[in-house]
Amino acid sequence: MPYRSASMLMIAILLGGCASNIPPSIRIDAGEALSVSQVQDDPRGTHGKPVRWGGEILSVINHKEYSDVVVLRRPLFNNGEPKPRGGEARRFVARLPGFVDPAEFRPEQRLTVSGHLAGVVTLRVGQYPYAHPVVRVAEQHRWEKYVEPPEPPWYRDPFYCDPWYPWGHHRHWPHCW
Amino acid sequence: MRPVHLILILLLMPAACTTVVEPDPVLAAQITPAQINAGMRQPAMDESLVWGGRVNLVTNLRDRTLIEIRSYPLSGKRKPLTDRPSSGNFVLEMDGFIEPAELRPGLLVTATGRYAGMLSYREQAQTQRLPRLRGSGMHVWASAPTARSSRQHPDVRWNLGIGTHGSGVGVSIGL
Repeated sequence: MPYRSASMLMIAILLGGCASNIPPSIRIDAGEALSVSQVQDDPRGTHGKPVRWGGEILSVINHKEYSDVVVLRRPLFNNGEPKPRGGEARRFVARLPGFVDPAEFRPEQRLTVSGHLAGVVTLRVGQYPYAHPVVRVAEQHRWEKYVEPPEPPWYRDPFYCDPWYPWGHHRHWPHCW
Repeated sequence: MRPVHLILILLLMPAACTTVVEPDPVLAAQITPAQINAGMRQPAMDESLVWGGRVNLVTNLRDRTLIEIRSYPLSGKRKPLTDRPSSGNFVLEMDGFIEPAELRPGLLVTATGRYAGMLSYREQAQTQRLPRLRGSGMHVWASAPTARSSRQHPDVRWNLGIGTHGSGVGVSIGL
């Protein structure tokens, strides 16, 4: 009997490990095709369309009833996590209801949001008037600063040449120098 | 392989390890920002120049972007040689908007353009006059490799070879 209880407990723990706290609308690609530049070019035509965008948090602007998180858009991994670099690298605003603590939504963290487009808001970057597309956020997930995954010890053969030549792959002599 | 060959290779290996990239002689003959700042030399207005270095500060104006750069001598591939003494600061002026979150301080850039006089450039409370390059092209060099990518392209590679048609075993270090 104790064995049965222990195995049930193990199964429960394993199944619990499979559960994700990432919302489905963040995890699952809905096939959105809109880019930030497309919305900047046609804010009216794209108004109300659904998007799933993510990227690096740049700043937080707190308003009376909502907060705007300025994000530099990056491409997403399959699970919705923003990649650390690449993509169109254009800015958008993720509009969240209520107060968002800038001490929690820090630069270098990453944010993925799903929601609907709500036009553009012009914010200054230096003196440049930058049209930021606004996403009214339905669901969001925040990611810590990206850390490169460690390289496994077997990733690279430390030997440039095959030390077992001629018993391994055939290489022409001199195969090392 | 005869032992004499192996000895020759072992003698040549340290020379391979001490390869130093020299500044390009043609680019090194250009007037540098430091020479302008010191009043030693003055380029003609609209003179074509190729300068490069490390980004200090990016300032977005309404219709253009100013990039303050700490310049260094350039290699034959026009890459700034940051292990050399700096050749002074200058301001690169590019048309339009350049994303400061992408062009971060510390990145290496090389720019081609034309000399456009001195620019009174205000940084925090201080105003300084720096040579201005009206940029026509800019190349941003890949940032410092991450831990993983640096191991994919190691600076030092150990080689072990066994020859069968001659006779010899060797270990070498390649760059």
